[in-house]
Amino acid sequence: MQEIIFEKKVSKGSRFNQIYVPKSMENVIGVGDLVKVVLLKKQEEIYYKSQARLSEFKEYLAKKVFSILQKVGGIKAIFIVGSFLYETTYNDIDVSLIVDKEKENFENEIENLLTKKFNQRFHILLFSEQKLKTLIEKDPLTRAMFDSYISDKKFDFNHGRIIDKKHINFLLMMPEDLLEIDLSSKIFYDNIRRLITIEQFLKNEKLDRNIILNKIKNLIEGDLLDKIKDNQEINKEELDILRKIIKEKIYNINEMMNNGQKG
Amino acid sequence: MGKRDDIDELTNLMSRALRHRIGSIVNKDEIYAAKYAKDAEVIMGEAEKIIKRQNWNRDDKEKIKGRLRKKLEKELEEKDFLGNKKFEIMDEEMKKALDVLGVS
Repeated sequence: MQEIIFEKKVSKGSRFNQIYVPKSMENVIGVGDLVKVVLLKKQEEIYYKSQARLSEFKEYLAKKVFSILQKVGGIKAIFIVGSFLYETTYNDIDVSLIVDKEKENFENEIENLLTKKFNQRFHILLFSEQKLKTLIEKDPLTRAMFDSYISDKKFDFNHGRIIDKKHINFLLMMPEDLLEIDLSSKIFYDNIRRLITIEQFLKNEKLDRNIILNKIKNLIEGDLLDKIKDNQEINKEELDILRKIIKEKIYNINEMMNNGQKG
Repeated sequence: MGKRDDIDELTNLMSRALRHRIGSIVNKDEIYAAKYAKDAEVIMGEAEKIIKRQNWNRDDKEKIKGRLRKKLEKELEEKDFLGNKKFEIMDEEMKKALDVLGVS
């Protein structure tokens, strides 16, 4: 029998998705004929969650990342989070993956695969679906990270919020240390951001990146803020200002936890 | 800064870095263990800078070890949310860190 081939896109039907036989072929392939469907190319889609549309180049890059990772076994969903979404210059691309099983060294394998393909630094985080659910419920930083993202699939992250004091105390260790030890100024910036995120989480308020950045802007005056974002050296007076902010935030957080603030 | 001040600063940093590291080990089921390990690395990086400031003799190394143990014990005692195994692995982690910094 002569081979009859046509290519069509799958379209959305009310009950089932469908493929139409072209009108010009109605005499060649008719009702009752047996056909075979072969997947030639996956539709490359990007789902945006609370995120403005990316530039054409970034979309192209994201689609390529998705398409490469979709061919790797064991990956259920792919997310791009972090500075790649917002900044014109970014050090690395943060890719989070939901995997079937956490395999040893899988993070490095994926990182090497992508770095080799794109000549660009990637930072990979792997989660099982259950672990990510727990993190989004309990961890203010992960919850903030997944407040906006792009992904290869639609995913429901509408998880509740659980206040785990032990976990929050863990997160407070580093800011508490900064009250007594001198580290580079960027660490102070990162930890003030961490504290604001924890505070927002405990108050059950939005973890939107812009809201958190605005809160930092309102706390730290322009010059000093620019310095610590750039990891520049700061003087004793400036260090005292940052420590005062950290101290107040830690106090507020402890008060909220001790008073059982559940939002 | 003299050796005495450097030993004080060094042991302050190391005791905190080790507390983060031990926390990430004993609470490995903690949902963010890797993050705490990273905090430990950041602080240990600062400790390395102090190590390079001086030539440390045997006496200095003994002093560092003694002060570090005292400070670390206090740090671990204060953080009651860290798992109970923390004191069991304290010596081993202390030794590893001192080896890496070349002051064991």
